Formats: sequence, C-alpha cells, structure tokens
Amino acid sequence: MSRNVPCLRWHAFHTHKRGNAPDEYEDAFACDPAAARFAVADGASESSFAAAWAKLLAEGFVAANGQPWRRLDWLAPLRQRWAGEVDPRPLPWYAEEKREQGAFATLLGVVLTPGSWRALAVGDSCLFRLRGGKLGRTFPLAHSSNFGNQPALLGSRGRPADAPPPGIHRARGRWRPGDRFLLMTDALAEWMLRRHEQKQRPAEDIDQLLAESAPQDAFADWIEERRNGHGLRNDDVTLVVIDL
Amino acid sequence: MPYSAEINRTNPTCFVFLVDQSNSMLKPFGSQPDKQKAEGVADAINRLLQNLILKCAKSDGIRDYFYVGVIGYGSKVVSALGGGLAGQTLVPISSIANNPLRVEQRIRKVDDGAGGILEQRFKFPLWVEAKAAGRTPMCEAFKLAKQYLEVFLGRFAGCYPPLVINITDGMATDGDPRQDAQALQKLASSDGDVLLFNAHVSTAQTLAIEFPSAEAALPDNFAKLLFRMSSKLPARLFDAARADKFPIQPEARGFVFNADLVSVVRFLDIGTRVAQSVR
Repeated sequence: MSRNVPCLRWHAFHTHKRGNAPDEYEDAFACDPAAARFAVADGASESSFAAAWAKLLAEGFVAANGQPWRRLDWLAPLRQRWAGEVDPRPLPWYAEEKREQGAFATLLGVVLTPGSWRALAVGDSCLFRLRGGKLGRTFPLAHSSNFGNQPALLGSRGRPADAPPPGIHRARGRWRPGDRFLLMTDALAEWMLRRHEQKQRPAEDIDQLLAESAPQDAFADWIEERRNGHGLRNDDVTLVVIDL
Repeated sequence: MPYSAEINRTNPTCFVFLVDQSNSMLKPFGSQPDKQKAEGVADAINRLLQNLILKCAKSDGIRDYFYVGVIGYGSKVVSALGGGLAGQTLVPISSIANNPLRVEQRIRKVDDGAGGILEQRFKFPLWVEAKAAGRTPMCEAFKLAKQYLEVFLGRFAGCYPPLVINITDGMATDGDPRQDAQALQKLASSDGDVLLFNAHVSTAQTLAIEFPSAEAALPDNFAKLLFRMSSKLPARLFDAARADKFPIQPEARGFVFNADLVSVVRFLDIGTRVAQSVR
C-alpha cells in the first residue's frame, strides 16, 4: 500500500553535540522512501553502546514487516543482534557493568499510507506535521515544558517477556498533498516548540535551511547559530524532513 | 540560573570526598549492626566512586566529566587514595577507574524475569579500605578540601560548582566544624557556591533519613549539626530527586542519616539519564 504514496521528497540531517567528536554522535535515523517509513532514535548518553542500539532501533522500525506500531515483536531480534555485537568484547570492569545494564534509546517512527499516517514513539523524539507552513499536529509531546532529562526509553536488554516496554505512544492522522512532516530528536524538538510558543515561526527556519544551495553542508552552521542565539540546547541533533 | 553549567570534558566539575577514619568508626553500624561503621563508610565511598565512574563510562572508555579527591581524616588528614594514586590530590575520574586497589568478585541476586532468582557474578572494585584510628579532625579535613578546591576553581572558573561529600559519625574533635564548612561553601565558580553534603553514619538503629528540610526529626545533636552545615539542594538536583520519587520537601538539604549519597551522583545532569524505573 505504501507504493501508492505519491511522495515524496525527503532530507535527513544530523550533527553531533558541540564539544564531542563527530564519531560520538549517538542519535540515528533510517529512511525507506519506497516503503514510506521513517524513524529517528536518540541513544541515552548515560548508557554505553547506545549509538549502536539507536541505529538498530531506527533501522529495525523501518524494516519491520507489517505494522510496527502495534506489537513490538520486531524488538526481540534487534536485542539479540545488539547483544551479539557487544557481549563477546573483552572490556574493563566499568564498561562490563554498563554493558550489563544495556543501552537505551528513544524511538520515533512513522509510516505513511495513501492519505494517512501512523506513528509510534517512546520518549521525547518528536513528529510535527506542518500544513501551509503552520505547525499542525505534534506528537508525542506538545509543549516545550514537557522535555526533561529522563524520557521514556527502549532498553537493549529488554524486560521480562510478559512486561511490555513502558511509555509507548501511538498516533494516527490524515495528510494532504503539500504537507510537511518533521521528525527530530529532543533538543531540536524542544527548540521548535518553544519558538512556536513564542510566536517565532520556527517552520520558516526550516524553510531557510532547505533553501540553502547545499543544505547538508549548511546544517552544522544552521544548528550552531541556533545554539548560540536561539536557545537550542547543546546535544546531538537529527532532523528528517518529508514533503508530500 | 546558578547550578546550570553544562558538565563536559572541557568544563568538568569536581568531587571531594571526606572520609572519617577515626577510632569511633570501630563501633557497630546502625543499619547493619554486624558491620563496623568503618566498613559501612568504606562501602559508601567505594560505591560512590563506582557510580561516578559508571556515569562517565562509555563503550570507548571513560569521559572525564569529573575530577575526584578523597581525603581521609583520623590519625592523619591526608589523601586516602592508594595504590597507583597514592599521595595524589585531585585526579580525573578515568584515573580512579583504572587504578582501584583491587577488584573483588562478588555475587548479587537478580530477578530472572520468570519468577525466579539468578545469582550473577560481578566485579566490585575498591579504592578505600576500612580504617579506624585516632581522633576526628574534621575541621582540618575541611581546610584541606578547601585547598584542593582553590586549585580546581583556579583552573575551571566556570564549572558546575564542586561537591564536597563528608561521610562521618559526626563527632569532630578539633573544634566546631561549622566555620570551616562555611569557608568551604563560600568558594564559588561563576555558576554557584561549592556544595557541601554530609552523610551521617550512626550506631543508632533508626530508619534512614534522606534529604530532610528540617532538623526537628533528626535523632541526635551530631546529626543536627551536620544538617545545619549541609547545603540546600539546588533546584535542578531537587527536581531530579523529585523525579526519582524521593519524598522531599522544599528547602531539602544534602544530608542523609544512615543512608548513602549515591543518589546525588544519579541526580547530576551530564545528558539523557536512564530512569530507575526504566532499567
């Protein structure tokens, strides 16, 4: 059914937290325009091997068969893959202890079908639907005060089999040609909502980025400008823009 | 807003632990009467160090978000770091991580997820051994901590304010410690005053008390004195404690009675935290 989505132009951007090395980026994103599935994930900085877990989650959501927003049976094989990657490594005592605790990440995924969309979120990565350049639907958070440093997270070690992961949100809605979807990790999402609450039209900032001759190259500077002058929290940033 | 500086590798903060190693620590520990207080204190400081390290541990090693000093006070007032770190004052957390005195194998019981209990082996590193000798020169320990922090603040003037954590049974023998405690708390970075938190290890077999906001419920005068010397929890630590379901009231102070201060390490913000309820 996704073949019928007449989409779709999309862009994905990412940059690392200022002060960190580029390879310390722990967000992730995955895009499958043919299947009209997109996801972003944010590895929790206090956990280890979080970048690998965030990547598995984003890619796992996009590649999942059927309806990934319903049963999360696609998580179990991802957990096995994560463990397969990290468990054999010899590590010092502290890294071993962190590995035992598992890695954690937020996840936001969306699946588009003709005229409608469905999304799943764990934590504070957000989806925004813009129509006519105006912010319409926001999911799962709706206000900048909803962000904190302890979001709901998906763990790589899993929970007992009969306990579903806590903090899963699901949403669905309709879209029209000309709509724009934004998927972003928490720092940019918080900034987006705060600027909107201040009547600052943050959607126009996104237009400005996309109007650059080389938006990918401009992204890091675009972010840095907003960190310096417009209250964007210093963190890894990931943004996926989907135009319908 | 004070106490909001970002903690990172170029702008680290600092912990100075003051560990009471006096003779009175031979007495039994209230919450575990089969142990001496000295053992309770050694457990507490080793657990604090472990938690600080784990907070900074990533798959590729340790990120030096913290500098750490450990001062023992008893028959002498000196750095309590030993082994490869003997005699050193403030060291980056990665040096602590890589230089324990020894790493013991211990066993803990964990839920197997199917209604049973599993025994899991884990490594338990130690930096400080139980020790109990001499009097309790707490004033002198505060003075030495002040020297450590003056050096640190000279280098990292914009840091998240350093934290001093004093673990004691409360009976200073070299005078009224309040003045020296205040002198320590008057040191400041551009982000706020140095924080002094106290953990009171007592023989009293009463319930643990964590982050009280008034002294009326405290069981003895030593506890009350330590409470008065303890800094109030800054807003963000207070909010983090609330978010972790600590039943704390406004004006809560960094003081615990027969409890540990590991939670303070959890409350510090170095990025996305993994809530206890999610683990």
